[in-house]
Parts: sequence; C-alpha cells; structure tokens
Amino acid sequence: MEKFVAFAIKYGFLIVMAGSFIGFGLMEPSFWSWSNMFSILLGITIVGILALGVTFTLIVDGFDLSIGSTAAICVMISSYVMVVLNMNYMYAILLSILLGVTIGLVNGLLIVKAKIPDLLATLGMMFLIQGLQLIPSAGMSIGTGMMLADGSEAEGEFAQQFLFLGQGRLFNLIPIPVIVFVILAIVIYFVLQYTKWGRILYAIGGNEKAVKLAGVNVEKYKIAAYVLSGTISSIAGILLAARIGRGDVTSGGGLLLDAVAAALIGYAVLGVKKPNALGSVVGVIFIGMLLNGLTMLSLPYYTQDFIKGIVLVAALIFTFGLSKSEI
Amino acid sequence: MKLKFLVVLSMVLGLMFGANSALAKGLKGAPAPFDGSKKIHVALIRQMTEGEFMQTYRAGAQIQANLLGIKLTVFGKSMDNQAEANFVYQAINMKVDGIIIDHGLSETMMKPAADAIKAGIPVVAFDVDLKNPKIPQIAQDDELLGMLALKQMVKDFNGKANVGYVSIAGILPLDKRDRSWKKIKKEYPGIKQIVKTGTLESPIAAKNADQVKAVLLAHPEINAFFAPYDELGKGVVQALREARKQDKAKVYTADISTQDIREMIRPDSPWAATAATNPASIGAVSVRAIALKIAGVKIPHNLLIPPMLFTAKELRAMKIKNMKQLRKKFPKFNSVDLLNYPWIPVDKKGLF
Amino acid sequence: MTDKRPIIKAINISKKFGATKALSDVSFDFYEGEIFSIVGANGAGKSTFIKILCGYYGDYEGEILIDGKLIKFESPRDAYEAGIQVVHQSIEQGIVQNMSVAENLALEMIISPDASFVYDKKKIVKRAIEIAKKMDLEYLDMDKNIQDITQSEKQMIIIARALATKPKLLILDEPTSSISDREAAKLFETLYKLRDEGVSILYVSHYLAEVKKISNRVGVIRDGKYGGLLYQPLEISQIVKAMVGDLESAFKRSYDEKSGKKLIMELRDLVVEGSKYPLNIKIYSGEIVGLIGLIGAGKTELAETLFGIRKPISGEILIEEKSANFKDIHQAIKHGIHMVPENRAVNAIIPEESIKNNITLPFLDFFSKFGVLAKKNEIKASKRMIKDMGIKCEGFDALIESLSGGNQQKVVVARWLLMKHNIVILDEPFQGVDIKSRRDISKYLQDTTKKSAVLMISSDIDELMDVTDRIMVMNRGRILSNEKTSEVDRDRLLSLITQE
Repeated sequence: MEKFVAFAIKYGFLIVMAGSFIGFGLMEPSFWSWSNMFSILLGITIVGILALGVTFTLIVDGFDLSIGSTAAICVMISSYVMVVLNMNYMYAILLSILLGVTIGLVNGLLIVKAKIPDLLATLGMMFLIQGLQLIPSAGMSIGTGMMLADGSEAEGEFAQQFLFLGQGRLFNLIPIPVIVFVILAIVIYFVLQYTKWGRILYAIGGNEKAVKLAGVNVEKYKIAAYVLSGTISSIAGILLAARIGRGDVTSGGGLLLDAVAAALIGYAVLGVKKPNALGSVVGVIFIGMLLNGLTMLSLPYYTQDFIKGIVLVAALIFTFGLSKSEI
Repeated sequence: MKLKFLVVLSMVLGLMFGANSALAKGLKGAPAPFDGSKKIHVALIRQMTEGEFMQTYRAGAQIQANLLGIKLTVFGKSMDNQAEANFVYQAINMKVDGIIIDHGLSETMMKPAADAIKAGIPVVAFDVDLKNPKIPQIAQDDELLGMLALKQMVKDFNGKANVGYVSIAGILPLDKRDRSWKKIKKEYPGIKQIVKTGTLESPIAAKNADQVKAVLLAHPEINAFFAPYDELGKGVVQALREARKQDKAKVYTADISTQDIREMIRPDSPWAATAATNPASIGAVSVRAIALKIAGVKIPHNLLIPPMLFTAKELRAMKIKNMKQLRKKFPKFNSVDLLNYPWIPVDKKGLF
Repeated sequence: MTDKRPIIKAINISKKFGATKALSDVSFDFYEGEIFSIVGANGAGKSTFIKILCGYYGDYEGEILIDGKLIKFESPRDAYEAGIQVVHQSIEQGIVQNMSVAENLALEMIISPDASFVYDKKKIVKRAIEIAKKMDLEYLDMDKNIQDITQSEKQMIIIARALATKPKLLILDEPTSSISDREAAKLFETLYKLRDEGVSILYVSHYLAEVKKISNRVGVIRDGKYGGLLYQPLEISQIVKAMVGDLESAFKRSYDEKSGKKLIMELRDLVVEGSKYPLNIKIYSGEIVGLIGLIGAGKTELAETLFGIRKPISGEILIEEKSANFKDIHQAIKHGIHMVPENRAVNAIIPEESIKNNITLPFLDFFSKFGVLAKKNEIKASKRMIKDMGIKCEGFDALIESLSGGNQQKVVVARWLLMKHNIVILDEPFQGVDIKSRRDISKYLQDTTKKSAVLMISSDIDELMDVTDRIMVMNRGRILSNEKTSEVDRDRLLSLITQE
C-alpha cells in the first residue's frame, strides 16, 4: 500500500496524462494529428511562458501577481511604438523587454529592500501597470488608423517581421511562439537543475536564513528572481502582441491565474512537491490538451474553468494530500 | 484518488456523448450535403460570450442550426483574443464543415481565417472585417440604424432642433452611426449640434449621466439628444430625470432591451425612439450564410441586417412591456428577409 | 521504592513501521511520586515508545495497564482520558498565540466540546488563577498577551494546564531545550515539588547531566529493546554505557604547543556590539578553543562579528597575522573563517534538499564551472564527508529531513569542514544532538584540526572539557579566564561563568 502511494505520487500525474492522450486519440482520431499537437502547443505558449516566469518567484518562496499585467503592458507598448510612434519593430521588442526588466527590478526592490510582503507588493504593481498601460492611448486600443489626441490618424503599423513572431510557422507547421516557448523552457530547466544559481534559488526557498549564513547574497538572488519573472513576462507579452496584431486593452485578462494554476499543477509532476520548470511546462500542456480534447468531444466552452479547477485540485491532492507527515 | 478522477472524467465524457445523438434526416429539395448525405458540423467562434445581445445572437444561431440539422459547436472565452485565434485552428483540426467568426480583432483573426479557407473550410464573419474576398461579411446596418433614429428626430422637430450629441469616436459601429449624423446635419441645416460629449468609462450610464448633467447647465437650449447606443441613452435619460428636465428634451438612441423598453414606456419618459436589430435574426442569418457557403451557393459579400425603428408612442399604444412582447407584436423583427431559400426552414414561432 | 504501587505498567510494547521493528518487547513501570527518565541514543525507539504512551499509534502490540486495568490506546484522546498528560518539546506548539495568559491557562474551558457557548471572561480568569496556583504562577498578569511573557513562563503555563487535569502520569519531552539554565533550575524545583506531592513524572532529555541529577530511576531503550533500569546514585558514564555500549573513550589528545604552531587568528582590542570591553584573543593552528559563558555574555555577538554578520565597533581582526577587513559573510569565508551557527533547524538546514546539496551549499563556486555544477565532484566530496564523519544515511541523495537530529548536525558540521579553512567557529554544536553523534563530531574535530583551528562556543562546561585544548570564560563581554583544559578547575570555572 505504501509503495502504491509512493508510485502514485511520483507517476500518477503522468499516467493520467498519458491515459487522456490515448483516450482522446481513440475517440477522436484527428486529435493525434501533428497539426492538432501544434495547435495545442500554440494555445498554451503565452500562459506557459508566464508559468515559467512565475516559477522563479515561487522557488524563492515568493510570488509575482504582476506577470499577467506585465505581459499586457508589453502588448500596449509594442503597439504604441510601432503604430503611434511609427518606429522600427526592434524598438518595440527592446522597449518591452526593458520594461519587463524594470518592473521586475522594482518588484524585487519593493520586496527585498522595502520589505513589503511579496503578495502586496506585486498586487500593487499589478494595479499600477494595469492603469499605466491605458495612459498613452487614453484608454483606447491601439490599431492602425486610430484617432490620435491631435486629431490625426495613426499611420504606423505592425511590422511583418514582428507579426511573424506570433503568427508565423516554421516548415509551415511549427508555430514560432512554440519554438520560443520550447527554447525558453529548456534553458530555464537547465539553469534550475544544473547550475549553482538554480541550486541557490531552491535553497533560498527552503531556508533563506541558512543560505544567508552560507555567505550567499540572498537579496541579490531574490531580486534576480523577480527580474527574471518580469523579463520572461515581457517576452510573453511580445509574442501576445504579435499574435493579436493590435494593442488591445483587454489582452491581459486571465493570463495570471492560468499561469499560476499551471505552475501549481507542476508541483505534482514526478512528485517533486516543489515549483519546477518541467512541472510548469507539463502542467500547462496537460490543461491545454485536456481542453482541446474535451472541446473536440463537444464539451461546451463554459465548462473550461471547471475542468481546470478539477485538475488543479486533483494535482494539489497528489502533492500535499497523499503524503501525510507524521505527527 | 486517481481512480476517482478517472471516474469523474468518464462521467463528463459520457454526458457529452449522450447529448449528441440527433441524426441528419435531410431537407426536402436541398442541395448536397443538406439532402441528408452528411451530418454538417459548424463552429461558432466568439470573442464575447456575455451580455444580452451576445446571448440572443447565440440563441438565434442555435435555433437556425437545429432547423437545418447542423451540429453547432460554440467556442468562446470572454475577451481573450488569442484564445479566439486558437479556436479557429482547433476547429480546423476538428475538420468542421464551416466556421462562423463572431466579433474579434481583424488583426488577430485575419490569418487564422485565411488558414481555414486554405484548409478548404468556408468561413463567414459577423461584425469583424477579415479583409478576405472569400469571407462574406455580416453586419448590422449601423448607418441605417443611426439614420432611422435621426429621421424620427427630424420628423418630431420639423427639421429644427438644438441637439446634444453623445458618442465616442474610434468605436467602429459608433463611427458608422456617426456618418448618418453628419449626413443629417448637412441635409437639415436646422438640426444643430450644440455640444458633443460621451465616455465609455464604466459604469457607462452613470458616467455619461454626470457629463450630460453638466452639459444641461451650460446649454439649457438643448431640446434633443442623439445617443446612438442604448447605454449612452440611459445616461442621458438619467441626467434629464435628475435635473427634472425630462419634459425639456427628447432622446433618440440605438439598440433595445427589456430594460430600455421599461424606461421608454414610462408616461413622462424623454426617450422618444430607438432603432434596433434583433440579434437573434443576425445569428440565424449567420448560420444560413455558412450553410449556403457549404452547399456551394453564391451569396453576396456584404450582408447587412436592416434595423427597425421603435417609438415610445408605439410601444405605449401597443402595451409592450418587454422583449418577448415586442417580438410577438413585431414579427418582422424576428426573421429578417435575407438569404431565405425555399429549402431552408425558418423559425416562425418568434420565440427568440 | 517497593512500598509504592505502579500506576501505569507498559508490558512488552512493540511497534513496527512497515518491515522495520522500531520497538520490541519494551516494558517499564511508572510509580507515583517518582521521576522516571527514559534515555536512548537517537533512533533507539525512545520517541516511538513515548508516542505510544500518548496514544499517537493505535497499532502497537503489548499491554498498557492503568491502575491494573488493561486499556487500549487508539488515539491521543484515549491517553488524555486515561490521565496521561504530555508537555512537548516545542513550547510554541503548546500555547495558542494571540490569546491572553488566562485564556491559555483555561484553554480547556474554551475549546472543549462541552465548553459554554458564551465567552465569560470572569469565569475564565477565575479558573485560570486556580490553575496558575498549582505552579505558583499567580503573579502573572492574566490579561497579558501570551507573546509578552518569557519562554519558561510559557512552559510553566503548559505544565500547569497539564496538572489541572490531575494526571496520573506527566510526560516532559526535552523540556529544557529552549529555556536557559536558570529557568531549568526553577523547572527542576517545581518537578521535585510535584514528585513529593505524588505525581508520577516521565522525563525525557538529551542532557544526561540533568537526567543524572533529577531522576529516581532511569530506563534505557537500546536499539528498540529494553536496555535495563538504572537507580540512584547514577553516573553519566554508566548511563552512556547502557545506551550505546562501550564507546571509544572520549580521547584526550595532548595538544603539542611547540610543533609548528602558527598564529591563525588574532583579535586586537576588538570591541563588539553591546559591549565596551576590548577583546584580545590569539588562536593558534591545531588548537581547539572553547568559549563558555551564560546567555548574554557576548559569545554570540563575538561569533557573529568574526563571521562578518556584524561590524566591530573598533579594533582589528588579524588572520595569519594580516589585518582582515571583511564586510560580510562572503568575505569572511574568503578569509577562511567558517561558522556552524547555533540552532540548525533555523539557521543551517535546507529542508527538502539532499545531504549532498546541504553539504556543498557555501562552496558552489568551487563545484561549478561557468555556473554549471560539476555534480561528480560534489558527489565525491559528499561521500567522503559522509564516510569520515560517520553520517548514518541511505546515501548522499537522501533528504536531510530523513536523518536523525545528530546526523543532521553532522551534515551541518561537514558543510563547514569540507573545504580548507583557517578557523571554524561552532556555535552550540551539540544542541539536540545525541551522545553518539557528539562523540563522532568531537573525534572528527580532534583528528582533523591540524593546520587550522576550532573555536567552540557552548554553555555546557562538560562538553567543552571533553573536546577542547583550551577554555576561555566570557562574562558580560569580558574574557575572565583563559587556561588549558587539562589545568582547568571545574568549580572555579563555574563560579567565573556565573559571577555577577
């Protein structure tokens, strides 16, 4: 019995995942097509990248509520740079990343130096960004031909190269955002698993004081975790802008919670019980696959959040419930 | 735990399979594949799923789909533009026979829609310009919508009125309605725009009421308001009531709902008239359009849904208190005479 | 003792965890009016036995007789109702934060299922005072928040609450681990009083000196089996022998002052925070130096200054006769100063990480190239330390939490002995460490301290007398004595430590 529980904790999640993969394919053969695989992946990239970002802050026992709004403001800033300012798309990318770094840095300083609890600091930042993104365009969505404050029309447009980042495909099959996601996931997995930086980040999450007493500059690492979270969020924002092709003011909604849910589901993957890159990726793919498969089998769209909730609760039970500690 | 999870999962799956057992019987005189040769599957992909308009649209589409024996799968996640694009790809992978795209950002939806066409799946679009000659565009006739309300204003005031204009630039349907306003001003020099105001800040009605109250103090000469969106209109009516000037000015708007009707039929209401289309008929037309495309029938590229005008006087006289009664008393409101073919059954009960 | 009757008899108690037998056929009797101590090395089964007595494990074998009646313990509630009260090691677990002193004393009135629905403050305070009287705690301000009283007062409250139920057996599990010596002395006075009133007390402690001092009888559990009973007069060596068998006797090495002695660390007129006295201390290679003093003597402040956690107010630290000016821990480590902090759970252990990751933590730069970890080298180094220090574990990848307290401490010590250093400071290294592990750590230090030095800070004089070459006494920021351990007079040292 104990062995079974240990096995269930370690592999249960992957078995359920493999089972649903096979099940969906048997019931709906087109589920197994390559184009569907990539459409699942394309569907989860933005949330997946954000989940990787929030993983860093979860690892140091922190939290970043501002990831979704950071992505959203990068959509607005990219659009503003290209459409209103009529500048090269490279500026849009650079400015977005710079903005992501800055937001992360401010978050990190607020939490580490000003000692504001992480949830509060990043909640404040979330609202601040949500408001800030509306200011340049006076609350309106940014698109070619929009009316500017001086009465003229915006003449710039989204560069084709920029749109390619979101809508292009390699070999006419693999979407570019998926490639970006996979590369990021591999790099982050490697950093967390095989470098001293990853080791120290995990150690900080385990016992910050002990790490400090081991001579590590903990503050630097914690700030770095938030900077990485902000930067990765801005990359998600750039891809989102390229997918939408317009500075849409509503684009950030729902991203935060989906990403956090994926990262939490990741705790259950291989029973590691810790935030981890592989888990976040698997978590987000699992949700994407489940929703895709169930939609193919005509599950109504309004049950999606319910399904996500079931998966999250089940994963949390796997993670925490099945491994009761002794009294 | 795992077991329980699987049980729940299989229950959910089982429920869904049970729900889809209707078989295509085929329609008399219909071209293939509606002659019963194949069960047709259409995806309705939406940008917004909430709100009375959106829900009524869906109901209309569903009823028309049922009458045609079409299986309609609805995809939607409220205001998530990238998800809307993903849904198109998923529909392609599901090998649906046709796709209706309901609202969305044209920048986002153009590419997925083009990809669907490339995959051999016909697409029709409602209220989103996909800039593709192969995709018929369905829209409410917004210009006409504005024009109907304004014509009533001209009639009520004999071509001479001091008008407060409440609208916001940059919103596509409002911009189209604005064109009618410009035309009317040119045509009837007696119709003067005294002031322009309006905001989309939420709650829309209350925020506009505040603005209009200020306007009323500054410009007591205003005797008519043109507010071509019912939420804006509600704001104007609220402002007039709060300033106790409901007898000093009349309000002309667009769109209609039960709530709007309630206000219009109050004996002292300044709300004179509104022009509206029935979202349910738009939904029905969307389904008819995709069905015709699937059957290979040629249809016009631009399909404009004509609106109707409702005046407060009429509503009071006919004792209409809500949308249900309105639909009953105005059967034309229910089914627009557009894309009607003898083999396509239409809903005559007017329940939507 | 024979004239007293046993209140509780535990007969042939056994318990299995999976395939491993944690306890087999252990029997003890508990009499009224005596203090009975249970001792055993870590992992011997001591805590399993106590948990069975407290009703935590329902699936034990054997019999528990209370007043001659056989009672089966299924849950902690059964033990509670049978009159067994336990005061756990962790004081924080026994009190309810954010409640007043009175509410904590009269907790049963508030939380029991039969508690009145109405919160009657007067009644609660009245009951609280009744309970407080048992332990002479009436002087406490009943309205005070529980956080605002001392650790030992909190502990007294927990004991008072336990006594209020008129228990047949009062179990105290490591009660002195988080209170000062003075507070401990007061606790013992109370225990004697309770014993003389007829209460039966079961005392569990790592501190064998305490066990020796207060127990009427000592029961030994060794490797899960009954290890015999010991009676007064007790000797520590005798207790240790019963617990772990014949240990290699703590070997007194003779420190050779002349051979290649090098000045490793020198403090010149160093004034540390909270003190006004300049310190002048020299520590040579190959030396194990003890630093003893009461809490508040300034030991911790000194250690933290030497490790770069605090800045000195004035004066100088010299390492190998060169002035070392370091601003933080990182630089202190660069100067070859390593420190094992006190209270490993709070300051040292990274839970949920492996032994290997816990050992190599401060030296990841050494074990990585361009940031990428060379895990092979890490594994090699960890394996070496596990072997050399005799860390009992399933392997370098085992989680540190899976180890006993003593072995966890070995890992923490290993962390700082792994790499070459000039001096390693150990702050209270034997807190909550069983006797066997203590010996292992001490022996390793004695064997390996040649080119480097050790500064061992402790408040336990016997500990230091065992291990060190030299002992310094610190009292209110001043070094009062500095002599070779072989020449130390224990009583004189004690008086210097406590001198006002």
